[in-house]
Amino acid sequence: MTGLPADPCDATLVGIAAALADRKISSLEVTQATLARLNDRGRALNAIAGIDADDAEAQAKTADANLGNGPLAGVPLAHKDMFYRPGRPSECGSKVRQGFMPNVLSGALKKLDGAGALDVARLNMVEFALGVTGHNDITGAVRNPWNPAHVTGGSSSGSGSAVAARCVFGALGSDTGGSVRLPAACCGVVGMKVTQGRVSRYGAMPLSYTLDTVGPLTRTVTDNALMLSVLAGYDADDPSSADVAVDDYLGGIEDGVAGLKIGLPTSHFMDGISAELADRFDAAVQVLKSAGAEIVDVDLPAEIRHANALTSMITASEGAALHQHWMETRPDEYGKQTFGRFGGGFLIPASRYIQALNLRAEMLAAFNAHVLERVDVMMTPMMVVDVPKIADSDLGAGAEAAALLTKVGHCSRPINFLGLPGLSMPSGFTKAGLPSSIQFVGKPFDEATLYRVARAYERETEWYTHAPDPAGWAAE
Amino acid sequence: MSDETDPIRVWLKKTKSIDLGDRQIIDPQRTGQPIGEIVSEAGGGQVFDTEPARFYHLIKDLAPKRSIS
Repeated sequence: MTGLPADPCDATLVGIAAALADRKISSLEVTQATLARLNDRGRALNAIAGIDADDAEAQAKTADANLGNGPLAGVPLAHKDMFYRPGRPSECGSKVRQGFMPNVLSGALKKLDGAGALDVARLNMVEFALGVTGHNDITGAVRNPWNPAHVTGGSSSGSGSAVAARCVFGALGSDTGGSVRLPAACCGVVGMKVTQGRVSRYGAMPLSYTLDTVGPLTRTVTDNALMLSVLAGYDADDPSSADVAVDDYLGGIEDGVAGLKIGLPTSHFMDGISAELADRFDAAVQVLKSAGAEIVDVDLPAEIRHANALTSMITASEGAALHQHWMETRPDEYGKQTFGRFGGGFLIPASRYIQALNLRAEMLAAFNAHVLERVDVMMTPMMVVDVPKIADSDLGAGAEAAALLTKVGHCSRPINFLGLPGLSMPSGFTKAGLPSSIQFVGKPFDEATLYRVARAYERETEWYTHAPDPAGWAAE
Repeated sequence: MSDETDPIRVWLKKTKSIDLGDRQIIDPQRTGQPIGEIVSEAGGGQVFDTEPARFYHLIKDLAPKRSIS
């Protein structure tokens, strides 16, 4: 008896790492099961950008021979197709970068390699990580395991889908305006948008120099904390990396919420929310209140209402600068929405872009005075609208697309503008059978408290034990 | 508005050498507000300082102070 589920892919990341460390199962067995899930479920959901089975099995055999080298020793993972590894393509969900072979190893992958993790597949993503719905004109939409007619959220669409479908135990994503948290929200998994500078961005495809962050998606809160424990920390290769000590994310994770103060914003984050999602949010608040948290209202600085638009301005400006050459020389290789959004960056005067950058410090100082000095954590819905249908997200690059992107990113983008950590996790299911979600926002570099609160909620609710049913996928 | 008279298309073609053809551009003023007005209402961002990276100092200063390994 290994104490593991019949299919090891149904174990948690923490569970499989422990089983491997105790040699209850071999890395080769786990990797072969993972490859089977990726080829079956992952491909059915269009989550896969590439799999090299021979290389994955070779990694597993090496791990079995040398097990015990780190907290993720022998654990197969797969990541958004934008983390560079020498000798392996990194195509960034695009036609422009098809066949691109990097010559550097990304800082995040280097940390995971050092912890003994295997890297067995590349996962689909939104073209150049620009988009919160998951829409991709080039590679097609990744499908939501809870209902394949619906979007996964973006831009880490394959990461959200593959983790939720139990193909992999965890995956890297990137979050510039919500791209870790929104796929986590739409797919019913846990996603951490880290504090600016917490995880190395070296060797990760750039979208916005200012706002990009790298973070993990996992099925459980503790899995996420384990993965971030490996990823977090200073990297001399990344000039934006912060030399700030890393907390023990697992050490206090079971401490509960008694004595913690959780703030509920009185503006912005509930604006336009559907009645059903508002009810689900209220229910989640009650869970934490019953668990011992003190719940208080917090008034936000009025300027926060502009943070969504400012985030888009910065991303479009920096994206346009990065992509101008290819947009001039290879415009037909871009998807309509991607080209349209980067193109908007050319219309923003440099002076306004720089003023938008300067506003980050002003708004962070105001947010600190209003919120962070008063509470340990702020709690918000992760989305104010239902998970859209794939058909409804194919809106080109007109006003309708802009409106949808603004709505879907309503609760995520302000946190990128502020540079703060934000954790997205499931809070149950809507009547339509799709995940609802909540977000916890913390003080800079205080991801540990987010994990503590999130784990307290998870312990009371256990939404992560629900699994999507692949039987319904083919019919869609 | 035709392609020839749309000021965004004309400007992009002339200034950025990008022939948009029939491509759409997502208006960065997506809230319907001029960019300048958004920036102005958000506080202006007009910092007359030798230290443009104040955000990066501030975010580290606001990290909880505790002894950690």
